Parts: sequence; C-alpha cells; structure tokens
Amino acid sequence: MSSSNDELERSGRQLEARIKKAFGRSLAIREVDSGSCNACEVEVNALTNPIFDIERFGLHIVASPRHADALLVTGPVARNMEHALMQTYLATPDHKIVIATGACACSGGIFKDCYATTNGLDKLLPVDVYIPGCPPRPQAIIQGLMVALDKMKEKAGHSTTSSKRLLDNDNGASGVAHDVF
Amino acid sequence: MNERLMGEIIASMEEELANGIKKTGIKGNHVWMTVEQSVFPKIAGHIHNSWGATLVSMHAVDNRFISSDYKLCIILALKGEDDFVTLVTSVDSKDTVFPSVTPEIFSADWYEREINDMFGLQAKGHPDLKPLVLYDDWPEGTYPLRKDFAADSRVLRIPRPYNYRNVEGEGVFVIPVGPVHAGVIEPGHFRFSVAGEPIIDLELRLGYVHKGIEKISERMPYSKGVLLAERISGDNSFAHSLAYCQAVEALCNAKVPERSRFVRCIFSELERIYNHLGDVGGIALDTAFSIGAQHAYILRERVMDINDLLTGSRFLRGVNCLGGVWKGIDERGRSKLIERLVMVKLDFQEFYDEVIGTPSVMDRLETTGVLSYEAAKDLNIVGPGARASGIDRDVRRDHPYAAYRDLSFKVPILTQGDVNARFQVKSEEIFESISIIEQALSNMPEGEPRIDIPTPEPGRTAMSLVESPRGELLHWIVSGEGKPFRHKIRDASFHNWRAMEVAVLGNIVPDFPLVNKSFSLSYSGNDL
Amino acid sequence: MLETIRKGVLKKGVVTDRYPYVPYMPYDGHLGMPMVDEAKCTSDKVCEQVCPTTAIRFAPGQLSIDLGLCIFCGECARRCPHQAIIMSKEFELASKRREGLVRFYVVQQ
Repeated sequence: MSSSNDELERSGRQLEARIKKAFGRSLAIREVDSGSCNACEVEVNALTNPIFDIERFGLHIVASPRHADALLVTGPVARNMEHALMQTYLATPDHKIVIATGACACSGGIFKDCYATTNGLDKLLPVDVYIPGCPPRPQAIIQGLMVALDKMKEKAGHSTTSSKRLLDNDNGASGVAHDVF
Repeated sequence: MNERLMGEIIASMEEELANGIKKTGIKGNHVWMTVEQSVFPKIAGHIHNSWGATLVSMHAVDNRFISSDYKLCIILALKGEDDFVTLVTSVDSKDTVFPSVTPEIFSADWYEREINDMFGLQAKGHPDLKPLVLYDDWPEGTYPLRKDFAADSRVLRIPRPYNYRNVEGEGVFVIPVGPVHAGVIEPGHFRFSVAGEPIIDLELRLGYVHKGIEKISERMPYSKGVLLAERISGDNSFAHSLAYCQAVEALCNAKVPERSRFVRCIFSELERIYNHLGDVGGIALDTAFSIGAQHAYILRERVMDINDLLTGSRFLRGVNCLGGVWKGIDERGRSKLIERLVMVKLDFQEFYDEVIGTPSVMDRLETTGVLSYEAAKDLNIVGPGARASGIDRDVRRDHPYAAYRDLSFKVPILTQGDVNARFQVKSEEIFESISIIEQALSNMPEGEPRIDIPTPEPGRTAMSLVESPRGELLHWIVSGEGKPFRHKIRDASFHNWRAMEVAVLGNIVPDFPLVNKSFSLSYSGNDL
Repeated sequence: MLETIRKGVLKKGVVTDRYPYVPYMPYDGHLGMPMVDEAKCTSDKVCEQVCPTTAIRFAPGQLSIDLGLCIFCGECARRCPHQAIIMSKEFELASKRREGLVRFYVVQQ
C-alpha cells in the first residue's frame, strides 16, 4: 500500500515538473460563444472557481480579445454570430491560437447541416486545438489548454529564426501534454 | 376540464364572439376551440382578461400540404386550475395576414414577431413587427419553419435595415453592449440609453445563437429528439428533455413506471439546486462579495459532482428516455446523495447568513431592479422572477407532473420584486428542493425504471409543461411519421427577457449585471 | 469581514483539485470516449443507426468513431445488442489536428 503510494507520489512529482514546463508561460484566453447551448460556458466558468482554479497555471480568462493570446470558441457558429466572431478574431493580436471547444465547435455536433449553423469552426477559421466533448468536462478543457500552450510554442517558433532555435532545443516540453495523457 | 366549465367560458362571451366559435372539443384537461380568424384576438383576450388566464404559448403550424392553410394556436392556462384552453384558427396560404393578438394580450408581442420571422405570417395591428431572429442579412422571404424550406439549405446574405428604438434628448447617450460580452456568457446585444447615471431605456436584440432547433427537431426521430432537447439550453438539460419525453409519452398515451416519476423529480430538483447556487453565487460576485461567491461556486461544484456520480454527466444528460429513465438511483448513489445534500444544506445556510449579514451586499440588493406585480403580470413573467414579484404560480403545484402530486413542498412568494426578493426566493427554493429530494428518496417505489413505448401515430398533438429552474417551459408536439411534424419549444426566458427592459429602468448601468443574474436568463433557450 | 475570512478560508481548507498533477479518475458510468470491443462487434450497424450525429461510420471491415462529432450521449453503448461499445472513462481527448479525433477499429465484415 505504502510503496504504491510512494510510486504514485513520485510519478506525480515527475508529471508536475513536466506540466510546469508545458505551462512555462502564461496564456490569456478570450472565450467566444458562437451559438453553444451554455453548457460549455458553464464548464469554462467552472475553470475559474476554487476547485479548478486555472489562474494558478498562469491561465487567465480576459475580457477583451485585444488582451488575448488565444480564442476559445464554443458553439457551431450560428449564422448570426459569424460576423461578430470574425471581428473578434481580427481584434486578437497575431500568433493567436484558436481552440475549438465542444462537439459543436469541432464539427457542428447535433446542430450540423442546418440553415442557421456552420459545420464546425474550422470551416471559417484556422483551428489549432480541438477539444471534443459535449460539453468537455473542466479537466478535459485544462488538458486542451496544455495542448494549446504547446501549440503556441510551436507557432511562436515559426515566427523568428532566433527564437525558433531556442524553442527547438526546448523540445522536451513540446508534445509533453500529449504523450503523457 | 369538464363540459360545465367550457359552457361557462362560452356563456361569458358576448354573442358576437360566441358565434365565432366553429368547433369545440375536450381532451383530458384541454379545451380545443376552432374559431373564426376575425374574432380570434377578441376571444383570446376575453379568456385572458376575464378568466385571469395566462398565455402559455402562441405558435403557427404549416399545414398547407394537409388542409391548405396555416394553423395558428394560442394556449392559455386557466387561473387556479389544472386546465388549458387552446384556440385554433386558420390563416390563408395566399393572404398571410391575421389580426394581431398583441393589443389584447401584451405578452403575445414577441410570439407574433417570431411567427412573422419563421412562417411569414404578418400580424396586422402589431405595434412593431420587426424581425426577432432573422435580422441584418437574412433575405426577405426566408421562412425557415415552412415545410417547403429545406433544413440544410444555405441562405444568401442580403443586408436589410434594422430599426433600433430611437432615444433622443439633451445629454442622452447610447451605450451599445455585445454581442460578445466581457464575461464568459452567451451572446446578445443590449442598447442602454442613459441620461447621466440612470438607464432611461434598454433595448434587447437577441437571436445571435439561433441554431434552427425547431427545424432540426422535425427531422429527428423521437429517440434522438430527446438528445436534441437536452442541448436546447445547457444548464436546463434535464427540464427540457423531461418536457420532450412527457410530450411524446402523452402522444402515445403511455404510462411511465412509478419509479421513474420519482427519479425524474429527484434529478429535476438537483438541476434546480445547482442552477440556483450558480445564480446566488453570481449575485454575490456582482456585488463584489467575492468570498461569498466562491463559497456558492464550491457548493455548485459539489452538486454537479454528485450529478456526475449518479448519472455520468455533470449536466444530467443521458438520463431521460422515452418511457422513463435510463438510470435509476441505486443504494450506493442514494446514500452518497443524502450525505451530500446534508452538507450542501449546512454550507448553504452558512453562505446565506454570511450574505444577509453583510450590509454592503444587502445595500446593493435591496430596491435594485424592481419589477412591479403589474409589470410582471402584463409581461407574463414566469419562474422565480415572477414569484419574487408576487405572482403565485408554479407548474409543479398548479399542473403537477412526474411525482410532484405525491410530494409536499411550499412555493415561496415575495412581493418586493427587487434583486433581494429574487435572491430570497431562490435561496428558499434551494432548501425546498433539498426537502423534495429527501421525500422522493424515501417514498420511491421499487420497480423497473423504464418501459418501451410505441411510436406515436401521426397527426396527434400533445404538450408538456415543466417548471425548469428558470421557470415554466413548454414543449408542444404534433406527431408526424416517426418524428415530430411540428415541435414548438418555449423556454422560460422567452417570457422573462422582457422583464429586463422594465426592471433596469432608473438603475445605474453597473447594476445591470446584478439584475441580469437575478433573473438568470438563457440566450440559447430564447433564440433556439 | 474577519469573521467571514476565518470561517471561509480557515475552516474550509484547500478545496482545489490536484488535476493535472494527479490524474483524475471519473466515476463509474462516466460518459467518456466510446470504445469498441473489436472481438464482440458483428457489424450489424445498430450503433450507426442510433447515433444522432453520424459520428459512427462503417466501411467494409472497419468502424470509425469521429470524436469531433460525438456528443457522448452513450446511445450506441446502450443500444448495442452485443455490448461491443462501452463508454470508457477516457476524457483527455484534445488534439491539434481534426483527423486526430477519429478512432478506427477493425471489425469483422
């Protein structure tokens, strides 16, 4: 019993170190509801409550797209929201990443093939990370954000050659989120 | 409903109106009256005003391929009795104009705008028949709920003007907000007109999350329709799927097992508890009482966790099915649930005392966002918002469904109509819900949780009213071949949004989130 | 205020979940990723018919589940006459590529 606990503890600590590396930077997230049923919003809101508390990883949900590094989009992109979503996307500074959260944003989900919706966010915007689920539970969104941070590093790597070299050397961190889970 | 009551209703009308009634029928507690189009508004107004009935829904059906006309229905619930009156009239397929009901029943306003959008039937005499959902770039002549409109068609974008209310005067400013808000909430557009600090006018423009749910439902077989109903309004998943299941069960006169009735009550109340906890927490947060708010959020998370344990879904999805429930509550779940409820009850009492004992919070809550009894009555407000303004109406008690007939609970009514009153009503409802769950757990009979039900025959009509955490919601279904021919969904928010336009008047803009949270409105349920 | 802090912070202790440092194990009956038992599947396509979002597709000798379309309703697992699909406890499914969400299974024809 105690040995297995020790083992758990040890693997937990190893994991912790790797996760801290993945969360090496902060990330400002702007959430956009493009027509979800509100369940995804409830789960994203839950991320900031004392139980999940993503602020401890340096992840912030910000009030304006102009402050954001990442757009977390929920919903199947309702026709009436397309314009507002594009405006929000354009207002977000570059090297932004787009996270499609929930079945609706990934593919249109149960609302697909309808006159008022689009079949998923990637029909309109380049999507960097997909988080499936209806709705994805808060833990699943946290894992998705870890993947997003990883992607963020990759993206930043493409921008300038000097930082690319630096990040390439740091590749121990990228892909961590994925192969661990 | 009996013959006598129907006779009394007809006898109370003037001769001219009574002569306009072409056909009547009684089914269960429903009276059907087919009436002449010309007297349709007058009869509806008479029953609404003289009999104190409330408007449950108004909707159209495209019946052109069956009886070559459109049908228009109004459902009214009689005061103090478990009885409904449905008025039906026909609208010609060529001459798509009908006399407006809004001058008689004010709360029919948005319904008629919706009918205009979805079916292209114009209410003559309506004060402002601008689009409710299909605005900005939907071409004229797009009527999605007509049968000749394909559900998956792509609609061109042709701009058309939208007229906002014009508020003018010296020192009057307009603050447009949305559709993308600062918080993590759903999209909607608000226009505040302010003179100095106080709001003098608020105009809502919703419909941003319109997904065509009613149209999608018409192509979904009943068993899949339950899953769609769960996704109408995320945090009211259970209430919506329950209403859908009850409507389909009524279509084929199926009687669900006793056990499932109790299980449905338990999950309905769990849903109410976690929603109300979120609302009272939000109210505390918007008054900058963060520590209290976080306590409420912890409690909410505890309730969602018990949902997860009992059903595998934090939103109680995948529980309801046609003919009962998939998942009963076993011994282990039952003891966990009781344990958790005791904890929630104690902790919530602590939170409640904390809020009540903090003068800076109470100062913000009292006399903020007052909705008077008269306004609530005219706008036909439902749910906790209505009960805080003195309207004594609760579907669980007035039109009992599931096992509510066998459970005793009291319906808290307050008359102040301010944010504080809504806070108090929600708090009391949390305690009542815990007591309902405890009763249901101890009275729950043994047996199968579900039975197989037959597929409903085409051409039948059924409705189901459910008290969701936000208030009364309706699912009304006309059956077709293995799937609904017409599925009308009316969320509580469709009535309650109007209250915002009234309740914020004279308040300062920073109080708007507080008032909004106290009504707890769904955008997705409203826009469909 | 002091009283509030004393009651709220000191008495409640730490409530924060240790995830992701400690793995999270969902409850039994959790509606996670649908998984196919390839040996039990007889390709009778019941799951394909009951799926509300066409996430399940059959090709000859192959079954694919598109998790991007899946709404995790559990309908396929309930209706499968051979219990060949179960709703697993797997929930960490985020992917950088859309194709990364599709799971393939080899089944008998």
